[in-house]
Amino acid sequence: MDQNRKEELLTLWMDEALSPDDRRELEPYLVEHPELEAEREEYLRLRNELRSVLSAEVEPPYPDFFNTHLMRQIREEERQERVVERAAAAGMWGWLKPWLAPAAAAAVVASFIAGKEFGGTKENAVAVVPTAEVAPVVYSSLSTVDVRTWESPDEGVTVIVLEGLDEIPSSVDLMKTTAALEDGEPGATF
Amino acid sequence: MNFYRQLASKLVKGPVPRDADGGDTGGGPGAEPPEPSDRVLVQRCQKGEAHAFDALVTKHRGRVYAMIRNMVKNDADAWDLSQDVFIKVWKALPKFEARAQFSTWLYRITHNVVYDWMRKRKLETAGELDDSLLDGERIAAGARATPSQEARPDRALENEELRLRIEGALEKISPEHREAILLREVNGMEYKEIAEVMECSIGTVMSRLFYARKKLQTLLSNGPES
Repeated sequence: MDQNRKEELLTLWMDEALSPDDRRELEPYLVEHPELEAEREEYLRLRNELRSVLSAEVEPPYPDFFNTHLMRQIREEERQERVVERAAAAGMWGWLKPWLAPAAAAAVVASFIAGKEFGGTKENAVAVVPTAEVAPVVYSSLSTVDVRTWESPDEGVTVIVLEGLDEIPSSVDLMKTTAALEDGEPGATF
Repeated sequence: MNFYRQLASKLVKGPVPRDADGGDTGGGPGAEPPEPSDRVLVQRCQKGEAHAFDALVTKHRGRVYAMIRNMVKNDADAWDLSQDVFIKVWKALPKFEARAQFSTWLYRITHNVVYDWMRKRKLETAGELDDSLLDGERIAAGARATPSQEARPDRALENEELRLRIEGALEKISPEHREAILLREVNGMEYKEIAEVMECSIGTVMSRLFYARKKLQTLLSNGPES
């Protein structure tokens, strides 16, 4: 019998877990070493002592605080993880930031050159100017009405001034008519 | 993190509650509703129910704490390490598969936490005098390694001596042998479960038990001074 097998069989014997086959295999060795029986008895006594002084379950001191503190730690860990995740996400695109302004400027210049080179006539070239810089075109089909616009880019406001319109009769409810127009009611006009 | 140390140093501890051996399970005529099983609690945790996790902790903290305390021999460290175990449980619970046994899985996490702590401690104290052996504040007031000076009735004194002898002997054997003995003899685990917890083969478990038992017997048969 090799050493590993002997250790296995003796451990099973100590735990009273030998199968009949195992027992048959171990029997000659036990006969050869009668002192093992006394050792086993001694260990079984020691096992009882172990179980009497060491418990498998002992409540930690301050058991309620144990749970409270644990949940607090978990919340703190989760908060820190979120911070790390946000930092990681920012880091993923952060390398682009220094390039954004030059890239935008280059795109505007490239658009301008492209328009100038490939856009044909000079009149057409005007079309490549960014639309934000073009004043809105407002017109009236009535030749008697003069239309002007006034812009305040800083305020983001555009005022359209219509001159030459007939007076609006006082009988017209402006609020009601506006609502009807917005709702798309047929025949709704000023 | 180890604030318990300060609390524990000022604390006069009462008797340790027991359940299975001491019969103090809180049962009685006012029968409480049966506890949900680990499986049910784990499923609820996986759905994000914080109350279920609280119940799971309450149910298992005693076993985890006892196991760690028997391994590290310090109440304050055991308290902190038990917290670490449950933090790891919380993080790993979403990946826990229902076919595994929760208690075995929990002991495996406990095993890893304790061995990480031992490794770290070994590195920290390598080549140095371990201050914790000299610093009284680092040893909890109720630490069992401290022999009591109080007069006790004969029987209690005998038990105390026996406990100190057994704990002293367990401290002298390797952590692997100690853990195998504790899991088998104190926690009553099967070889297979111990193998899962200790991440080794069943043969290794049996070999560890064989040598651990022999060493314990030798240490304890040589008397208190051994």
